[in-house]
Amino acid sequence: MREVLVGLGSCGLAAGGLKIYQRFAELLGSDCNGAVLKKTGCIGMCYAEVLVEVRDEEKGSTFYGNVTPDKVERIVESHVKNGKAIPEWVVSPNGSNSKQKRIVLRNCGVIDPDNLDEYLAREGYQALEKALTQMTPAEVIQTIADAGLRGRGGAGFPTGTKWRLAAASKDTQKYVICNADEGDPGAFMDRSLLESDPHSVLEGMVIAAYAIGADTGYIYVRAEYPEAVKRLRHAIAQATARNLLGSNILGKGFQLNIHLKEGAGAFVCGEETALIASIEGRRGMPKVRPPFPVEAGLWGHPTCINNVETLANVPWILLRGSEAFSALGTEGSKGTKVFALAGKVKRGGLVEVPMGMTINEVIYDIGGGTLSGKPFKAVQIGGPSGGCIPASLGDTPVDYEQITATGAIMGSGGMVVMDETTCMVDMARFFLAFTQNESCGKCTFCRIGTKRMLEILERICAGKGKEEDIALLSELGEQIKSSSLCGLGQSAPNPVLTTLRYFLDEYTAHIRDKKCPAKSCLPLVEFHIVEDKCTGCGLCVEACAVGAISGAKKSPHKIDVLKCVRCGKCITVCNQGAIEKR
Amino acid sequence: MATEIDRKTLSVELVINGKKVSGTPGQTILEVVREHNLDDIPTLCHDPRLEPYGSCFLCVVEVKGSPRLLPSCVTKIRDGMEVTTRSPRIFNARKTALELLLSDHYADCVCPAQRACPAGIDIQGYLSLASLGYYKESLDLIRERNPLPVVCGRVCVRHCEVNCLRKNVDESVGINYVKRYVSEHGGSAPVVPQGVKKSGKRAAVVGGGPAGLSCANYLVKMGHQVTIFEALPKLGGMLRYGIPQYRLPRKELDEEIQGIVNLGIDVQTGKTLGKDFTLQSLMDKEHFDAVFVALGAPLGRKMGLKHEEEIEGIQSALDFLRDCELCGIPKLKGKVAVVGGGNSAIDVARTAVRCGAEEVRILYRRSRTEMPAHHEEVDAAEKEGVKLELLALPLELITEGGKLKAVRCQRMELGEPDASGRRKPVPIQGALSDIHCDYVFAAIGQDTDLSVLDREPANLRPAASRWSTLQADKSTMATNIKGVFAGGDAVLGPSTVIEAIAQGRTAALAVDQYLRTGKAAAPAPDFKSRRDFFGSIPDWTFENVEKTKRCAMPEREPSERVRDFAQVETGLDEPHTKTEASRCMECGCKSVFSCDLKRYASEYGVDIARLSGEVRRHPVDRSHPLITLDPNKCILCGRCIRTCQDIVGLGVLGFIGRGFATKVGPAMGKSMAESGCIACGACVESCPTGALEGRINYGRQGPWKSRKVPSVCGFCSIGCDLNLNVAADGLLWASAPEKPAMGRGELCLKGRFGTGLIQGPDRLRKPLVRKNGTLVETGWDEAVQAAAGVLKNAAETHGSDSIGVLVSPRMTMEEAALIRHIANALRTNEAGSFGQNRRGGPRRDLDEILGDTASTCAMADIEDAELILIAGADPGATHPVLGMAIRRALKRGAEMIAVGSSRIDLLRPEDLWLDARRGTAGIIYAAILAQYLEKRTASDSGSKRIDLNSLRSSVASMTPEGAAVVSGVQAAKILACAAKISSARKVVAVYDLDETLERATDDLRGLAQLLMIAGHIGKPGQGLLLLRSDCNGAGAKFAGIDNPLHIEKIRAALIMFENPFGDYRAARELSGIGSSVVVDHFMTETARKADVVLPAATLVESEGTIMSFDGRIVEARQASRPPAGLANIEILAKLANALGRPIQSADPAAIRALLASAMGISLSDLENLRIAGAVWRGRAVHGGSYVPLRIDSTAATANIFPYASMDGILEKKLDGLTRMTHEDSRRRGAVWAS
Repeated sequence: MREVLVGLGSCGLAAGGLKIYQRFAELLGSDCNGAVLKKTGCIGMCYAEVLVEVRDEEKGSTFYGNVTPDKVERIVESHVKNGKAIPEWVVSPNGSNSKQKRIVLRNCGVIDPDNLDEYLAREGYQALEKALTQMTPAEVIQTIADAGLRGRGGAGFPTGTKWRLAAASKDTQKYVICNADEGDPGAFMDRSLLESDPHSVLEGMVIAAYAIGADTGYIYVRAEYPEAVKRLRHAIAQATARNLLGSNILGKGFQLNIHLKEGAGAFVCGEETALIASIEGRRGMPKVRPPFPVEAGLWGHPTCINNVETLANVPWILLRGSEAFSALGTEGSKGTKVFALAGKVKRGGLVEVPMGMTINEVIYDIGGGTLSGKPFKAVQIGGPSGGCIPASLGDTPVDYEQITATGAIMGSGGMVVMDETTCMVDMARFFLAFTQNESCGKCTFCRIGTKRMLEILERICAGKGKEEDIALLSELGEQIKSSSLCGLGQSAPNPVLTTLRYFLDEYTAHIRDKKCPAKSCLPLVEFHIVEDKCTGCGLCVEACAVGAISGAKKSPHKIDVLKCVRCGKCITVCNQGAIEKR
Repeated sequence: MATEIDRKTLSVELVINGKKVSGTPGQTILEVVREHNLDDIPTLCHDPRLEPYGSCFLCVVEVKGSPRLLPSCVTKIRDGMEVTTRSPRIFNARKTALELLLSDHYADCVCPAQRACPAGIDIQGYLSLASLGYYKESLDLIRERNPLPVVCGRVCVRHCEVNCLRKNVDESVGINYVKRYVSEHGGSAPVVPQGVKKSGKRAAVVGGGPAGLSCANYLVKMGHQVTIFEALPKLGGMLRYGIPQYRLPRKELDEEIQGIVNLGIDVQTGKTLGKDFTLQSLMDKEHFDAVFVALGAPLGRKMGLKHEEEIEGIQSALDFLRDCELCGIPKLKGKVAVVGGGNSAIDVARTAVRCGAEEVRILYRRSRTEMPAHHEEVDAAEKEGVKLELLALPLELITEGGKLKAVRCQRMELGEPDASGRRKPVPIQGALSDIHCDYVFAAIGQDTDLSVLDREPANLRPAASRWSTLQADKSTMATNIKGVFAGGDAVLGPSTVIEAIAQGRTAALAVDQYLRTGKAAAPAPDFKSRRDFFGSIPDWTFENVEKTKRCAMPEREPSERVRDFAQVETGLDEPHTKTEASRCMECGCKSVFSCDLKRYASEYGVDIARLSGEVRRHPVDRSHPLITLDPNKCILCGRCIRTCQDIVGLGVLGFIGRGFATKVGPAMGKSMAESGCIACGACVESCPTGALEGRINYGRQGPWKSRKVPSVCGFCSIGCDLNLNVAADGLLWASAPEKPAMGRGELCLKGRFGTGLIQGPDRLRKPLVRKNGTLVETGWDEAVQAAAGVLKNAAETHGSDSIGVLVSPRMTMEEAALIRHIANALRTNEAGSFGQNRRGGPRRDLDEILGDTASTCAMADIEDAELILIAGADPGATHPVLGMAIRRALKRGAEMIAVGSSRIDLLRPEDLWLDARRGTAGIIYAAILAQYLEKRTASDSGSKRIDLNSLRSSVASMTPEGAAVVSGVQAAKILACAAKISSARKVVAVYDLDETLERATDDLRGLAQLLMIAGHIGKPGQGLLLLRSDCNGAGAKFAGIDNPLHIEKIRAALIMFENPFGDYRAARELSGIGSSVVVDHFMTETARKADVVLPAATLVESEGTIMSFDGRIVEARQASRPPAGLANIEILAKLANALGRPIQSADPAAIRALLASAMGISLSDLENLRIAGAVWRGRAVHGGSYVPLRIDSTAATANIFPYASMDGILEKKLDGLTRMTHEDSRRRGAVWAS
């Protein structure tokens, strides 16, 4: 019997997965040679969506990438009906299996997220049962602590310690919150996980609630993740119907009701105290800590907030034991880490690697290197709060302390790869513009300081930078880091400070030479036609809106740099690649 | 419990700035630092009344072990913590925070006109004072920075007017015209301020011109002994010897100079430096401790033409004008040519006209627009017949027979602009012309004569510049010689009067420093935010300003004025002055004197340019009648938002938007007017800048410096502490006290904004006596005699009992005691409030039960109450500050029950509302009582038990069902109410004694007894609060002035603060009154009918005592003198004397002896109560006794009292104020904070 699985995570859906699914449904009918059509979540190879897996009982799985509706018929005919794979359409999963280690993503792309039975069939809720029947809350906490699990939201606070603090409180009312307010540009780990395997997160939450003694939980998820919200809601209903959630879980008298709270898309609401304010119906603005949420959180009660990925690790650890988990990783960072590989990387998508793997390995062995094939220049880790790690530090292992030592942070797992066409100043400007917009406006330094830094970067990118700007940028950056209440402000200058640290020459090139080495800052580049390559076809002349290009038919054209507004239209229309930026 | 004990016993030991200190757990670093006075940590977002917030990052400190700086306002102390509050890193961080805040602060601290004034005169301040008629105060304000306002009011070059922003709307304000009026009508000579100590130091001022006079003026005011040395016969310098009389009359000049000299300055005229004395001799022989050298620039510059000095009839303008002054006005025969285009040229030309010259021409090498002279002056000269010969450069003097015949001029044309920005004149080749003349006066510049210093030894000769001026430090005017300062034209080169004055003052400040400390330090920097720093001010800023014309300066006809040297400009009259002053757009910030941001920016030496970038320009929200929201000034500290939520209990304001674009405003983009604001102004108080400003009721908003007088609010019976900020008599406004005795220092709409209403032009200022049918103004003695006569006559005619003393309890207890005294003198017992009488008479409901009809607990008990029962009251509307306390309690988790026919705005959906029909509340209480009594076992003993039984029998027939039928309230609700009252541990009930619509038969007695039975009276922290509408309603009765009145008997009346004739029904009742004496603040309807009207003082003009509704004895202090001159107790004492019952002393303390005996306590006890603001329970007994209720169980009906409004003018105004804001928000429904 063969199974056909169509990836219907947001990545698959966006690539047209639903049409593919329907086409398969038409062709396979209700039953076709016993083949079963299934939906599944994100398998991680987002670069190759729509992805279709044909699962053969004997031969194992075959993945077809970039499936279009017209390919479906041949796949059905050849592979599903006759067992003959179509090698030219087959793609292999990111890296070899030995490089990735899927704990968190164990079910992603494997099961139908809407089908609880599939989750149950893969050891689902067994960890919960084990906890409720065989373990005391203290033992659960001890296991998590022994495993060395650290918060995957970014700061890497030991999860066991957090639970222990929450459990220690005598308050009769406690809360667990799943922080699914993923907001970093380029990060989509939480979304994919919630879309592809919501129950693993729910199970993790119930175990956390059991461990600390909470009876109410919230999942704070972005409203911009409609698919995740839909599947979560469905999963909560299913779990409640089967007594995996609700007032008498597994008949053990343990109670947990989980509410979904859809966030309005404020980045700062990923910060714990702002998130709590938002759930309480107030404006999402951070408060000073202490008191920490584990002491006085939601409505003043002890509240344990864990990230999506952290929670998804929990069932695995309870089932496999803490040693199995701590066997993976480095001295201080145990287990695996999920990354959203994005940017100028060949095989972008969701990957999970053991802690300790080097950045080079992630980018080259799993991501397949850069799009252009040239070496990568830098990688932005940790989103706008993180920093930029240059290629020269590519051997840095994925490890909380080591990444922090570079000036970046582990963050929640966004990994944006950059090559030589990325201007580092412009990149810093982009991330700062993001944090500036997303600042809640409370603290002086974050609200106005980042604005002033942004203005300086804008002026550098426009070729109007001043020599003293670099000193001013680092001064302001350090002061903002030092004088902000929450993580957003404290980390907002990181992209600027790390690029200043590793790519100072690019800044000086912009300021002193009025040149953008990556040829990306348009006010600093000039467009030229390479005579040898130009055939004089005239396409660019037509495309140019300001009449900056001239030249006789069939002889090389010229661009009047004074007229040129650097819109780049000519480059896109030129078939010869004759136009270049200098 | 354990934590409670921990908190009390444990202490946290930490080290701050190397010093060991201890604090209590939970305290923040800031709190400990402030408590131990370890440093003055700056804060903007911090408010001790609110939860710590931590957003401005001004209060950052270093904590050992933390890589970051920590905001001390939110960082809790820990054992062993090591804190540093001062370091370069901390200083820089704070400075950067301020620079960031100010880089997005689009506002002017002071108006551009003031910034442009070299002397920095508070222009907006003096214009606003002048516009309100406070000329003396206005003049005093000018003199703080300019001792020569009479001079400057006529001759100033007015940098201010050039920079006045009004010109962006129509024309700049005629600032100097106002100054001139004020200088003439301010009516006071300058004085040395009180309390200035003599320094014993001597300073010499060399040169009696404006710089010297200014310096001498301020030095003597600072307590130094000053001598002015002047070479010429009289003081004044260039004012006298360079400005013609028609511009600056000598009488006024002499008077102004004499005023300064009269401060105690020694003047030695005819003494020339370098001839009669030297700097060395001053210092060494005459032992002056410091010298200010203000030599001026008395040398007229030569034209540099051939034979210039030999030919007769050629003179410098300066010499000509000086000769006019020294030798008398010369006769000029023939034609005059004046060379130059400045003010001196015009002065000479116009003087020449007056000297009889046949023709006067001004030769100027550029065109008219480039002339540096004031254009108004040029116009005036032309009107007087002066001709302008423009683009003409004198080349040669033409003589005939040795006598001047003409000036040969090179004709010029204008070329490219030169360095000064003016177009440069270039010669037209070959174009020459001869201007015929008999005299040439050159007004092309002047120089300082430094030869007077030639005799000084090198070590005492101040350094000179290459322009032959003296060199002096700009901020101190100190020269390179110790103890020698210099200023005026001798330093500036020929310049303006106001600059010389400014330098004189700068020097005086530095000399003062030098004399006191031995060092002339520059004054601390004074940061001023300015909009023009961010580029030109957009036009939309001025969109709402109505265009008006600038008042023209009246002047004498040219044909007339050329015949003499009398003043040409005659000055604005008073109405025009006020109009012109009111044209000021008040561009400067009203909070300039209190702004924390400005203070810190100065302290930290902020460089606004360092971090400048995009600035946000917001429209100002002026929609609210009393509160202006200017987001341009907002620093987003959130204090207003948190104050409104946590103290007021509403949530009118919030943050809008994110990131740099975040701003503060009402939700949903509403304006302040639409926001549900109750106009309490707490947000205004909390704002550390001027982003939220209260509008005071004077039309003009200042800003004015003020002194604070702590006092009490008199607009309702809560008795809120407040500060009266007094800028001048009659110019005052209220603000919350720093350390409130009650609550959290909140005020309401009336308390904060009502004070201004009691001032104003319609106040009575003179006593009035009816003569031949009309009221005419008269003196106090006559009026009081007439008043006594009216009352005595009536007593003789109709008998003593026919005289009514109708008084509102809106007075101090001292006044009330005097009123009682007067009633005694008149031998009448009819002393009481007519309004009260109309509302059913004085309330005595609880006398029988509790010994007194008074509150049994304090307002503060609301804050801890578990259940709040609002019975026939609407405190949110009538007593908003109590409403705020209730809202806070509800937010904290207290429950509320309301009994009454109307929905009150404090009511939330979750509260229990017993919406009883009007007049039926009593039966509800009776039914609840019946319930309680049924369950109650006979535990009481003796008489109490008998009482209880009689109460039981009076309510025996009451059932919840029966009460439901009568009141319309479901029985279940009544039962729920009963259950809640009996189960709650702390209950506070609020009942309004002066509410008439909700009142029902025996409702208060029923309420009090059910509280007693449920155990809520007689225990601390709970009980009954009885509201009253008048400020001293609770206290009046102790003075014996709340008797029931027999209106029908009254034939004549002394009426104080009541306005019965303002109500037609009341007037009908009082139709028997034939004669009356009225004491009031305004001309009420009642006053109009009176035989004698005595103008009263308001509470802010009185010293005395108030008893609040909950029995606190509070001190009222006099903040402003009564406009009619007499305080109320003085008026009443006079009247008592006239009635033959003299009062020993009209001193409040003496009258308090009367009061104390009426209250049955000793005078010292009363004084102690006042000082402490303590509660006095009077005759009240705890526990009380029970009495039967007189309620018909079947047919309780509405018992509405025939209320007549006793409102006078003030109450109507207050009512208007309330309607303007509060009513609107009530209609929209109160805003509840989340």
